[in-house]
Amino acid sequence: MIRILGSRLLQLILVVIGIGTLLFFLVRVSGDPALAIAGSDATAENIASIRQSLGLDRSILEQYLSFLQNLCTLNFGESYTYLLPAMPLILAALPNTLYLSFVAFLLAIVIAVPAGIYAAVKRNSFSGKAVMSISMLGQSIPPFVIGIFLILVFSVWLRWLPSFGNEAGLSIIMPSVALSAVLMARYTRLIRAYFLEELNRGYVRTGKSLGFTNARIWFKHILRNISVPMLSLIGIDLGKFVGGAVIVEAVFAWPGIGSLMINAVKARDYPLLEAGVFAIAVMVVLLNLIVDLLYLYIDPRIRAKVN
Amino acid sequence: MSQSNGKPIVEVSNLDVFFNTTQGKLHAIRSANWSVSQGETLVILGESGAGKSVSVHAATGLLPGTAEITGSIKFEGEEILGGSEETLRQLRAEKIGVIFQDPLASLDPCFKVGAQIAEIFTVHRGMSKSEAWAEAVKLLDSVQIPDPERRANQFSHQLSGGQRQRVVIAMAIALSPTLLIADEPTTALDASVQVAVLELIKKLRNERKMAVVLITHNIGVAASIADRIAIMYGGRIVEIGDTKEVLQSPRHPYTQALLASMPKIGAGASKRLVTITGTPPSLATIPGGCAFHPRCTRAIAKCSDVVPEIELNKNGSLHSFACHNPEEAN
Amino acid sequence: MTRHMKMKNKFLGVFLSSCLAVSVVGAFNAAPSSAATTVATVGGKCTTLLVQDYVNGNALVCATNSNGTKVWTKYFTGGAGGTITIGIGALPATLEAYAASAPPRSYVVAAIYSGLTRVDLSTGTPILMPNAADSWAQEKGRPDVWVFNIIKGKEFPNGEPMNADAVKASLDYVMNPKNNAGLRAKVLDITKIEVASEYQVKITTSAPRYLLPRTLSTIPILPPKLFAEQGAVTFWKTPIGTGPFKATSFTPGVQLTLEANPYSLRVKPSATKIIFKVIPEDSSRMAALRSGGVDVVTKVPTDSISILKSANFDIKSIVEPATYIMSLMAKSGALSDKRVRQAFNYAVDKQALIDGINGGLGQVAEAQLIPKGLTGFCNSVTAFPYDLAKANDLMKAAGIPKKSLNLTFQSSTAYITNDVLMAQAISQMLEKLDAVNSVKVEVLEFSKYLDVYYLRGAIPRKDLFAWRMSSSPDLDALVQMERYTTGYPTSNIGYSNRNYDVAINAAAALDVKSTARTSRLCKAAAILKEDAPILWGIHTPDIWAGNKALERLTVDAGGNIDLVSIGNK
Repeated sequence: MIRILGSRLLQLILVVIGIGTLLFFLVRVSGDPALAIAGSDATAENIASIRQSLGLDRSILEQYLSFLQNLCTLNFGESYTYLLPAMPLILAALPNTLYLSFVAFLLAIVIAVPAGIYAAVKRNSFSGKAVMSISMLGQSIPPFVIGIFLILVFSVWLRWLPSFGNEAGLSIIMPSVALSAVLMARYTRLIRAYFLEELNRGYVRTGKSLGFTNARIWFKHILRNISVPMLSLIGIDLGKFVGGAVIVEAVFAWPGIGSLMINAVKARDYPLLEAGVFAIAVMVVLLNLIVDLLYLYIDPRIRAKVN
Repeated sequence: MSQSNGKPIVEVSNLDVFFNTTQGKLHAIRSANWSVSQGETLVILGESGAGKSVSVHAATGLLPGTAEITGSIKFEGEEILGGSEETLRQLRAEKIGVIFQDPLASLDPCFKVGAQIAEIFTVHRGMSKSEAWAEAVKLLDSVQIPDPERRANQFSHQLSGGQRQRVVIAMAIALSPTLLIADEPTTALDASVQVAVLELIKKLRNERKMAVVLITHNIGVAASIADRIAIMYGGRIVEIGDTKEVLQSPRHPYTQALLASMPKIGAGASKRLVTITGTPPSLATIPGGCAFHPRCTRAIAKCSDVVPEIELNKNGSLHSFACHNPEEAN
Repeated sequence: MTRHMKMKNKFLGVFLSSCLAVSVVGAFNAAPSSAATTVATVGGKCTTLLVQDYVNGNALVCATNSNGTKVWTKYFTGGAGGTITIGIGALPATLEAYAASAPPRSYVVAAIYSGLTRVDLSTGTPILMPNAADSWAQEKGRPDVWVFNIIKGKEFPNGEPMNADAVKASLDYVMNPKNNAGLRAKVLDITKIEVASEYQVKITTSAPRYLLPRTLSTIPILPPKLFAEQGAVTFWKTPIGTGPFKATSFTPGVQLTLEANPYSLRVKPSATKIIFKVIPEDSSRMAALRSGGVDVVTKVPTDSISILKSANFDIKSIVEPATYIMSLMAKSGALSDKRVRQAFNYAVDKQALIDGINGGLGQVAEAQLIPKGLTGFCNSVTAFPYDLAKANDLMKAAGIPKKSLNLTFQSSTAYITNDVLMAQAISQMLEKLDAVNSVKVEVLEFSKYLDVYYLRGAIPRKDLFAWRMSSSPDLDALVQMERYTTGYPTSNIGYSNRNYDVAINAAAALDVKSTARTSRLCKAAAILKEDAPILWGIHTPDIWAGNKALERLTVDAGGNIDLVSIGNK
């Protein structure tokens, strides 16, 4: 266990330094933030002075070294645009992103598990095939389009749900549905495939021979068994999930780090970008750690190897 | 060896099983007739693909949904064929225990074996978790697993093959079924463990007065446990009778050939093993007439045209066979 | 409100605007001759000041009545109350006062802070209004010195008085190069700021600057002690000011809530609360309006107009105080011949850009650098008409062989309304010229686009570079026209004409009101049109939409929504 934590920590450090370095150089070749800060009324002298105050007049190597130093102390400096320390800005927006991602993820699982099982059990009937068709559709429509569609139906037409922001409790519904749709569809299909595979396993036959109900066999035994391969996929999906969240946050004006990051890219706000990427990297690595720990909990064979 | 003295548990008559496949309808079991009584062990012997498992599982309802079953299956006198899924499930829960070939696959890798046994008691007996656990440990002890407390807390991959099969047996007999079906229970096990597992099944049968139907392709296994033996070939029972009669005086050439292919303990090296020429037919390509005729050394013209019917209780004998040109009786 | 009253209001509006249209001409920059504050009462006679801004919550207009006398007339009665929510594409990241003067920054700055003056564009014509200054005038015999008389008896929310010291401190801060204030460019000419008395400031410029009172409308006055104590960065986090509103909550990139400011210098707003909600996605923002989530939206995309109209929303389309133009690279090649550049201007059907791409909204730009309405605009210099035959003749006269020109057109994407569509359309129009073989559109991502604009990146300016020349209402033609004088840095396209330079330099030294200045500017404008270093396009539309329950949803020519007047019915 401690070994896993240790290796994850090492991984985290490497990921953050790697991504940070990549980002550091990428943003610096993309253009000059001083221009973006100065605005259209600024003079050339003005711009030069901004560059100096941001330390952008130093050599790239100097800048990189101080960036690495900042990484160690988790001090990313002040956002160029917001004039506030970058990390607290990110941390203030992070709960919203986590909340959205968590609910969307939960929703994907809660819908995909029964839908996938249904599609597997009823694979030869019309309704089972319909589930698969819908999930195919869900997988191929981008979250942006789903988001707009939801807004038009539930906000504009029916007026049931707020279309933007995160103020009312109901605000979470549409963004999380839009964000989870692709995942929901993907997991429905995967769960169906895994489920069909598991149906032929000996322990399922044993369960039947013991007179267990189908529900018990499906939801207790098969589900537990397919959660192992599902978990490894979820681990892979987490990174993609963040990308989806950025888009959905923009559509629903959701006050998370996605919206912050979009602005940071536009304004070439290096400190904010660096802090944001750092936060996302830590989040993804931590979530992967949770996935690993869940592995241990679910699959005793892996647990045995670790111990 | 116990004797059939009790009431009949299962009576199968004129059983036909078809499978609807993409290649068409497969006739898997043809006019099977067999029965087993309380305390009795019926061994169904045959090569793989002969239809041994199918004929038995028709009675448990564990055949896939594409199976079409006709004839009659009576369980403790009640007709169960055509009964609802729920009736069959209840039957499996309370009356029938099943042991499968591969004990590792039969157990859920994600749960402790103790928990898997305990689940039976919580589900079917409404016990609390702790009661069920205690019962599970007791059961593990009764299937002769040493240190049952510790083993109950382990997962299937942490047990040896023999221990796993004992766990599977424990699960099968947990609710004291009247019928125990053992489908190749020793095939996946080491030879040394096989004997012990068979002894355990025998012991449990005697203690609990269960009817046992054991499926095997191993004549040695059959000989060591069976009260009666049914020989299957190409989806049919070709010979059935008391163990002694079938093994010592086989009438069907297939039984004869099967016995000849087996090394006999104490027979010495002088007697050569005889293999059966050709391969057993698949269910899709069963020859017309007697299914065995292409491989049969005693085949006569009639064999390729007319299916030999098995004549049950002919002249009051319990030893029956289906052959136009049977071996001489010893 | 009863129907009768509504009619009355409507009548009043029509009456006033027609009066103002007549009386405002030539009166720009009018200032009271004496520092004494006139107490305005409705119906009372007025003379010098055209609009007495926001007295006791009412705006009073000095308008000519039916008898031909000038009287104070109520412009509107505030206080309808309610909360107005505005869905906006982007909000400034901070509440900084000195960063920039264009929308959307100006919405926030004008709401929270007050400058010395205020430019009112609500009548369609810029009118300079009192704000922190009650009145202003040039010192006698010193056209380079302006005297501002500060409003008396007012204070900042922290108790600091609004006085000459506050004005000096604020301007000093902006002028100090160390502070990197974006607005410093506007006050580069100021050489001295003197506190003449507690309520009087004298500002000296390096040369006579007739636009100074107008320019200073963009520079807020802040409480000097607090600002110095906290430092700018801390102050911007929870700023205070004397504008009509105070910011009660601000989440950067998410939301800004404004509520009536009891320390407002001039006016009490109609709405009790105004909330800006950032909804960056166009379609989401429109949906927010249609779902009732917001009352007003900014930047309505052209293709949403008909949907919103049919859903019974009010559309407010103003012509942005900005011009979509294309710089023509005149350094060398065919484009160094002015006949070719003129031909391009004739070859583009500007009205088609408006009708075909901008839903009929916007306005064909005259061949000048500022829109109609700003000072320095010349009625005599008009747009090139669409005339393909004439264009071809000019190309022939310039000796350009058929199908010989392969041009590149650099365009931004999603920066100017419909920019890519317009670039494509214009390219196709130019390709109709006999001498033009092809026009390739090169779409630049925003940061690259900026680099090309500032001539900083690796990508050089190509034959055509489309951009938006925006003119904040405090500017006049001169500021924009200076960009085409010889050697001006950011518009370096190789254009140079000595006659143009002379005319511009002459105009710069003259009083804004003087006819000599106007004629010099007009001369320069005519030279620029003749030389055509620019392919003039259109004034792009700035489209807003609001629900019908709103009253007084108005957007002025500067692109600023009237936050003070807007209210619920």
